[in-house]
Parts: sequence; structure tokens; C-alpha cells
Amino acid sequence: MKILLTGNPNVGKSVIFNRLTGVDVISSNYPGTTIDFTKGFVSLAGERAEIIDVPGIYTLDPTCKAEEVATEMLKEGDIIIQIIDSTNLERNLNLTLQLIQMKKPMLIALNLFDETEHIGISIDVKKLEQIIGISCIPTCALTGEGIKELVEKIKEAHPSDFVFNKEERWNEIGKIIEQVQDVIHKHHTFSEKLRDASVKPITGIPILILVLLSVFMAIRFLGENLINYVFHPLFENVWSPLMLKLSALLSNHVVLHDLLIGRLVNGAVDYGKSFGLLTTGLFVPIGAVLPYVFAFYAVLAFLEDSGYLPRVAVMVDTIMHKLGLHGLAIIPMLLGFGCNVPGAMATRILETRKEKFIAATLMSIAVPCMALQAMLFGLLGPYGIKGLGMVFGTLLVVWFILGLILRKIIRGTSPEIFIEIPPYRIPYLSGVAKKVWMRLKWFIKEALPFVLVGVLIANLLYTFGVIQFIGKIAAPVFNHFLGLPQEAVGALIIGFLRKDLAVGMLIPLNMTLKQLIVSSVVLSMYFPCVATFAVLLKELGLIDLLKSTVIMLLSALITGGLLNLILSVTLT
Amino acid sequence: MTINGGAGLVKKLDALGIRTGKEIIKVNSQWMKGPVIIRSGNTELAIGYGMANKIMVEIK
Repeated sequence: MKILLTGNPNVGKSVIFNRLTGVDVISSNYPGTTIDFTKGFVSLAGERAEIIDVPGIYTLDPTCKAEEVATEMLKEGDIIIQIIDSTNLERNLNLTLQLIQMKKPMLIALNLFDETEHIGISIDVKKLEQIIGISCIPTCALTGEGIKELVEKIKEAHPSDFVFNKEERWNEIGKIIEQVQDVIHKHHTFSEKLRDASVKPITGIPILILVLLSVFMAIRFLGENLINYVFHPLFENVWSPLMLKLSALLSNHVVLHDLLIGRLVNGAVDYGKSFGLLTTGLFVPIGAVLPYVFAFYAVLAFLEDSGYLPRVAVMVDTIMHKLGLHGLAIIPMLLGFGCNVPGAMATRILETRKEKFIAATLMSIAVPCMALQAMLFGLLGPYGIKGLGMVFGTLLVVWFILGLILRKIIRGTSPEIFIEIPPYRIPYLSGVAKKVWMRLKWFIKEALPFVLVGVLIANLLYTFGVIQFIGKIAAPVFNHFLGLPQEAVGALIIGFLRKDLAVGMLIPLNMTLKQLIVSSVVLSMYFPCVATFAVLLKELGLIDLLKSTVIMLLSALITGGLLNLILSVTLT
Repeated sequence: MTINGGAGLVKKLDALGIRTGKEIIKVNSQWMKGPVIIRSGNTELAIGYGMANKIMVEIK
């Protein structure tokens, strides 16, 4: 048996799906979080039923590609559960009437039912059931209220016998609303005032700047303190002594010693230089990167669940149009700051090929992921704001200029923004915690193996002299054009695999500030990591990905060369 | 109000319950011909300046 969860975007389908199946899916307070369908199973009186979380749609008469896909999926379901936003009954019933025409067994979950009271709406559920001939169960997905009843009613689901004039759908809905819904009073709540103030340019732009600044500060504060008070002591005081003992044990097995521990520096483990699997290989993803990844996702989850992101999209829309995108493209960019992989996946919310191509290319080039940023903080932090400012400033300038160029040369159209603005909601702590935990688990699962393989490959390449060999060939470009030592080529090779590890390889090279800045920028821009590359292949297709890659390499080289020239003059 | 747009725009707005004869409120708009935010019932929607231009309203 196949049960499909459907409904308008941002009504809480994914939260209900979570509750029903126990399968974790990400949900956020903005439309379009579910870009791919997710499957789960529920057992109904001993029988296993498949539940599918279908991306949100407003109508069965598709207006975009995502809706086309969702509509096709609905045809295959045995039972349809429509999740309705009870605070927006009229609009949601439009989809209900269209679903009724499919003549499939149906159930309705009146989600966010608790909210109706707050805003002065009362719904006569019995009456609604009578009119449309479908069981309606009031639910509050966040607290789990009503979910049990919903499950119990699944076996009673039946097609509706409600007949209505299809041409006059909205009139029919109007008649239903008149009978079942009562709006008691409507006063301007604080939340509504905030809604207005945060998108009105004169107050909204200062608020946006304030929010972005506090986001940045919160991430640095959280990440730095986690490193200073938790992860650093843990590695220095607990892990290092253990490693030294292991090192003594392995003193007769040179190969194994070099592989696991790496080189000892002055008789001690140096996580930046040792380069063993258990030293640098563990330290980079866990000791240096994980704290920041955690901090980023914690802050992002609050931002997502509050409903602020669509407002950001509206406010940056004008700027994004200059780059051939519209405001919504800020969402893949923001996600990319965490990890480019989900960022690349999120380009799917953009409609045209042109938009997708520009968004994916700009993100891969100019949006450094948190892992890369964390290592850059470590690499350039000692030089103060100057070094980091130069790197991030350069990336921002490249992002903008490259966008201006791409808009001109890429053929195709860039449609206007069209996005529903959800109400503000106070993020649920348990929801935020769950989301952060899911993303961290995903990070550890994805990143750790890649870093370990990276350390291994780096060691092998050095041992067999491959990096030294390529370094010699690439020396003219590196020495003269970019002003970098040829050893830096090793970092660029490993950077295909993991950028954080690549930055780690720059640490032992004792470069000048200028060289550090140039190599950081080139490393950030020249190629996304292999995981992102794989996702982009799926999203863009081979030909567009190759074009995008050429743009990446060219812009990295040009920017690196220019930066080297400029810094040679200014930074002495 | 009426919508002077193509079938695509009419369909997109209709799906959200915004249609000829419906009462809508313009909440605000962004500078430099940026998006316009309109409200209809409990739905708030941001649409491009060009789309907003095609929606004709009778002021009450």
C-alpha cells in the first residue's frame, strides 16, 4: 500500500512525515524545503505501508517543474493524506477540491490547528467533514497531537462523494468557508508588526544587516569557544599522550608509524604537520572543522525555522537580478556556506537552466564551505582581520563580477521572484536540535572517510614523489604567475578531495601573508570538492558541468594572478 | 482587481487564491523596482515588479 502526503508548501508535511515514520527528514519554515521525495514505512495493524513525503504544491494544474513531478507522483498513490494549514483554510481547500476529483481514498490533517486559536479563527471540523465527505483530523505536528488519530483513520479512508461545479471552484470554496469558518477578531499582533517591519526597505535593510552580523558573530563565538574549551584540550591533553604511547609501541614498524602517526615534531604530535591518519587525519575534520560546522548549522536551523529566509530573498532580489538570478537563489548560497553539497542540491528550487547554471557556478567558486572557512580561520587568524578580510573580500568581489558576466553570456531567461512569505514562528528547540544532529551525522559520515583517504593519498603521493614531480612541472605558473612555492601544488591536488585538508597542507609550508592569501583564494575557487562535483553532475548534466569547471579554473587563475600582482605592490 | 497577465501568471496566482474580484493589500515594495509584497487573506506573497504591474486594482 502506498500512502502519499501532499499539501501546499510549508504546511508541515515533513514534520508529520517524521512523526508517522520515524524517518528523519529536514523541515524548515520556508516553501520548498522538500525538493526530493522521501520514503518511509509505517505499520498499520501489522501491515507494512509505504509513506511518501511529496514536495509541496498549490495546484494539480502544474505551474512549474516541481509541481509537475509532484502531480505525477500523486497518480500512483493508494491513499492520499492532504496536510492543510488550518490558518489558511480557504487557499488549502483549493487543492482539496482538485484532489477529490482524483477519486482516491483521502484523509485530511488540519495541521497547525493550535495556531488558529491564537489568530482568532475557529473551524467547525464536523461540519467540514460533512460537506466534503472526508475525515478531517486536527493535528499539531510539532507536539504530535492528533497524529495517533490520523494513523487510526488511515484504514477508514475512502474517496469523497462531494459534487461541485468545477468551473466555479473558488465560489464553491467560498460557500464552504462561510459555513465552517468563523473569524472572531483580528488585531495587529506583534508578530504581524515584525512581519511588516522586516521587509519594508527602510527598516528591513538595517534589520538584515544586523541579523547577518549577529549570525556571523554567533558562529565565530560558538565555534571558537568549542575549540578553545572542548576540542583543543581534548586533543592536547587526552589524545596526544595516547598517540605518543602508540608512537613508542610502533617504533619498530616505521611504515605503520608513518601512516598512523606521521612525523613527530620535536618529539611531540603536531596536528598541523604530523600528517598521520590518527593525528592530522582525525584532527582536521573533528578538532578544527566540526565545532564550526556545528555552530553554523545551529544558527542556520534557528534562522530557517523562524521563517526569516524568504524575507532575505525578497530584500536581495534586486541585487540578485543583476547576476541573472532572483532572490530565492540566496538560499543555495546560504546553504553552501555550511557545505557546498546541500547548496548544490538546493539549486533545484530555481526554475530555468540559466539560473541553475549561474547559481551553481557562483556558489562553487565564491562560497567557501564551513570546513574550508574553519581551516582558513586557523591559517589566517593569527594575521588578524587583514588576511581573512582580503580572502573573503576577494571572493565577494569575484562572486559579483562573475555574476554580472555570466548573466550576459549565458543564454536563457531569468524569471521574476514568486514566493510565499510564511509567518514568523518561534523555532522549536527539539526540532532545531534534531535538524542540527542530522546534519552533523551527515557531515561526519561524508567528511571523515574523505579526509582519511585524503591523508592516505597525500602520504602516498609524497612518498612516491608524485607531488614533487607535478610541482616541478607546474613551477612556472606557481612561482611566477601566482607567486607561490611549488610545494603548494600538493594542497591543490588534495583539494579536489577535501578543501579543509588541503588548507591543512598549506600550514607546514611557512608561506608569507601574501602567499597565504593568494593560495587560500585559489584553493577556494578552482574546483569544488569531489562530493559537490558529483551532485553538480546530477543537477547540471555533463556538458554544463564541464563549462562550469572551465569557468572555475579560469577565474581562479585570473583572480590568483591579479591578486598576486596587487598584493606585491600593496602588501610589503 | 483584475490580472492583465498571461495565462501562466493568472494560473500561478489563482493557485494561491488570488483572482479577479478578490481583495488584496499591497504590504510594501522594495526599492529600485524590487519585488512587491501583497497580502490576501492569510497569505503573504512576494512577486516581481513586472508581475505586480500586471495586477490592476480598484482602490477601496
